[in-house]
Amino acid sequence: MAYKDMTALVVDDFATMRRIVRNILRDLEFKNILEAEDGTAALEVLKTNKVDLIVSDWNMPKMNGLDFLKQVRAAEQTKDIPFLMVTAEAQKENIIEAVKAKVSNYIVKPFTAATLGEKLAKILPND
Amino acid sequence: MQDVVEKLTNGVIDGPEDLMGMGECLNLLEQLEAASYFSGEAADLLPRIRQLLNRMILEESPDLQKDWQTVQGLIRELCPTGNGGPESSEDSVSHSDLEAIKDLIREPPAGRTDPVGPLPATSETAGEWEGGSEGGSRAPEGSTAEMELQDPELVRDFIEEAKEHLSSIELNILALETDPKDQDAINAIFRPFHSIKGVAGFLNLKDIHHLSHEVENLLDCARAGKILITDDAIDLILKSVDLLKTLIGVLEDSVAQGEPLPDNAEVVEDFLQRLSAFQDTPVAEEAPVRKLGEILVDRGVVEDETIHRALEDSRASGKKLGELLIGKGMVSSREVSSALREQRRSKESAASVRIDTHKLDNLVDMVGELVIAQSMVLQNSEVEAIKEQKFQKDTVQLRRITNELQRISMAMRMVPIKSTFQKMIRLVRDLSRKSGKEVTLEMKGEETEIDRNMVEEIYEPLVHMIRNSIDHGIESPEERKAAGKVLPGVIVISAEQKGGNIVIEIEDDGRGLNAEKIRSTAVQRGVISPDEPLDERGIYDLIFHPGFSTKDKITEVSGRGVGMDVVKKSVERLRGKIEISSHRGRGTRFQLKLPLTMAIIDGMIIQVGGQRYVVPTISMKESLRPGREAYQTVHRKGEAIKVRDTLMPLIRLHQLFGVEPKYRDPWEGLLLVVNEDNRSYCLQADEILGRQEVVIKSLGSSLRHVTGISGGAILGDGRVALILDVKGIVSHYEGNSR
Repeated sequence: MAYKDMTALVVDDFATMRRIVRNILRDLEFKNILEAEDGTAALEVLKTNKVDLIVSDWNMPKMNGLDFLKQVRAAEQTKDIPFLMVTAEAQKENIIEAVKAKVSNYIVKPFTAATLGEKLAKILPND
Repeated sequence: MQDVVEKLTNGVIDGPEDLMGMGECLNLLEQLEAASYFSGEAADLLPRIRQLLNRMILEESPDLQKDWQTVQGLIRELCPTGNGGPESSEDSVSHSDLEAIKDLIREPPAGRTDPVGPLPATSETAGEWEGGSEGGSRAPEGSTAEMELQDPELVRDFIEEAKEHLSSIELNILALETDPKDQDAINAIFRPFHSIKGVAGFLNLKDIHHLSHEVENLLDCARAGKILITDDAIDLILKSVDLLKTLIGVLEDSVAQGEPLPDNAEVVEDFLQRLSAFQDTPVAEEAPVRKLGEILVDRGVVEDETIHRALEDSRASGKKLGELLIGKGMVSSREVSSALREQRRSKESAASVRIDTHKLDNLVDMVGELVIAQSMVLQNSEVEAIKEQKFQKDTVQLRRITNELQRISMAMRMVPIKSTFQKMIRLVRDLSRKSGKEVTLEMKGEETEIDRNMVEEIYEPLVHMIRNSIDHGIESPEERKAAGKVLPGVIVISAEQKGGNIVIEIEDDGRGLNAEKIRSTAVQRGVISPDEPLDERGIYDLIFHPGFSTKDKITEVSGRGVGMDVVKKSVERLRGKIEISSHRGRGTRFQLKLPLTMAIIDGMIIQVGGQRYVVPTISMKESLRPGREAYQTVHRKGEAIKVRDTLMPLIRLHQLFGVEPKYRDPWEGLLLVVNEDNRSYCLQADEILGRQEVVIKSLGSSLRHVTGISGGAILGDGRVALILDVKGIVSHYEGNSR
């Protein structure tokens, strides 16, 4: 996999969940893995960092994943960043909303490292 | 609209896995639908295309390629003028195929319970599993989930975080109780369950996953307004929090001992049955939302009638009820804001770090040592002889820094008593439901800070006292009505810092203590003899006697006579005091007086012969030098000192500790008046050297049980002083004199 030069941003209010995603991304050899605990904090991170991938949870306090996605897509500097939404089985229907708001892809919890890898392969440029 | 059709015709979707394209397509279709651009059969096509796209996006499509072709075909049918997208020419679908597919999707859309065909290879099935009730649980095969379980650090993280989230649920649930429809509150409770479920899924913690999943479902229904959060629902949620805590506790143990996680499926299953039984019962009735007016009336601030009139005015003028009432001078703004606060308890967040308490204790210990080491250096006679000015200035600076350091390290151990008080809300709630009594809890001074070690220690005593107030103090609703008292009964719990102490009071407006009944019970149980002269307070204190209980009926709430004696013991272990006052028919008040911290005591340094001792200031009432005539010997009771017409037994400390005193006669030395069990005693010392805060040092196991000594302290000059255990001294004295 060719993620060696890439920076990923993991957004989730549950630290253990961030760590799970981080571990998988680390094994996929991402160069940099940033974290934020909700949409608001993530937008701050995006202001000062060049990010190649966003993996965000849907259900978060303050700003949920969908609103965060909309903000990312609305700003010129961030509108093309591949955005992977993490959702739960029960909230899967919501994904249609995210797809309309131009989410790159989504993944349902709990997922395996292999599944996340497949999803990333679909949305990240691999050369 | 033409350009929308054009975009659609040119093809916005790159392939069956292009979610962004499908999203774009959905947006375009919605625009066309909203504008009623098409009519007749063409208009019917729109929702069908949308349905197909939806099921492709949700990976619920039985055959992705086929759906993809159908979508392309339908779009072509919709916009026949265009020349189609990139793949259009080859993937054309025959008309009969199209008809068949149209029939297929005319059926109701595939719901979650409907059977869904086997998923094609493109969608991930390997390792994906559902812990939910539907679909059964497929175990992950060779997945990270199992790998992750072996990462104990991750599990430990999860345990810590889950615990934190669970306690946040307890706080937020109270907000929900105030307003069962508060979406923010439901969300705030939903989220922790959701997060715990998510991670538990990864860590393959099936029981935790299963339970949190079901509670999440319940809350999801509430969020969607399908069910109403009633008291029963809140009970159920709180129970599930308890159960989750237990499960996490079990997990914690098995991680700590490196053992495999025991199966708790049975317990969880049991609970889930109750949960689903609850969900199945339709809840149509409207649960009452506490209105501002109601709260104000309940608090007796305004009359019901006034509220009614004000509400009409409010409807007419569009002003808020609170504003109107204040404007008319019927209530003060303080009362309104306090009622509003009751209506909606806000959650707070603060920036903080978590530190292991042992590290904190170590820090405080070391700072204590630093202060002592500094004193030893500076009081060294050779150092004291240095008169150089720069050195003098530097020592002042050093002292200031160490003092500040000591103050800060002490402050770090202090936490607001709020969290402890808040646990009482739930206790009162549970108990009042259980006992069928109507009780509300009011809190005052929750911001008061207290040593965090103390917080854990006072929890049990507080629980006991609140149980007692509800069980023995507050009357049943009928009794209260008969006595002309308001409903619900009120328990006020308050905290306040007074000098070096924290004073916690628990006051109820119940029936008060029944002195005659206590007395007769005490006689009956052989606690006192029938002719023992006791004043009212003395009688009240009998309830602290082990095994004493006046309640004829043993209830689930406070059980048999264990309670108040345990409370008293715990409070004394904390070097605190407990006092009762009570009025028949009007209520009872317990007052706990506790030191602010366990690590330091405020003490008087006294000299007895060549030894120095520390007397905790909390046990001292006064010190005095009596006249010779005040000294008396009482037949069979020994020596006593008469202070303002009260005879106080004299305890000579030098005799007790076997040291040679400077003064033998009490009128030459100094007497310390101490109070124990509402009786005063005089302790004889040579002199008082000063008052000082000392850091308490444990004496170690071999010296733990020395009579009259509770610990040691290192004084400023580096010498050790023993801390007097006044209670121990008094009971030793009483034991000898009887």
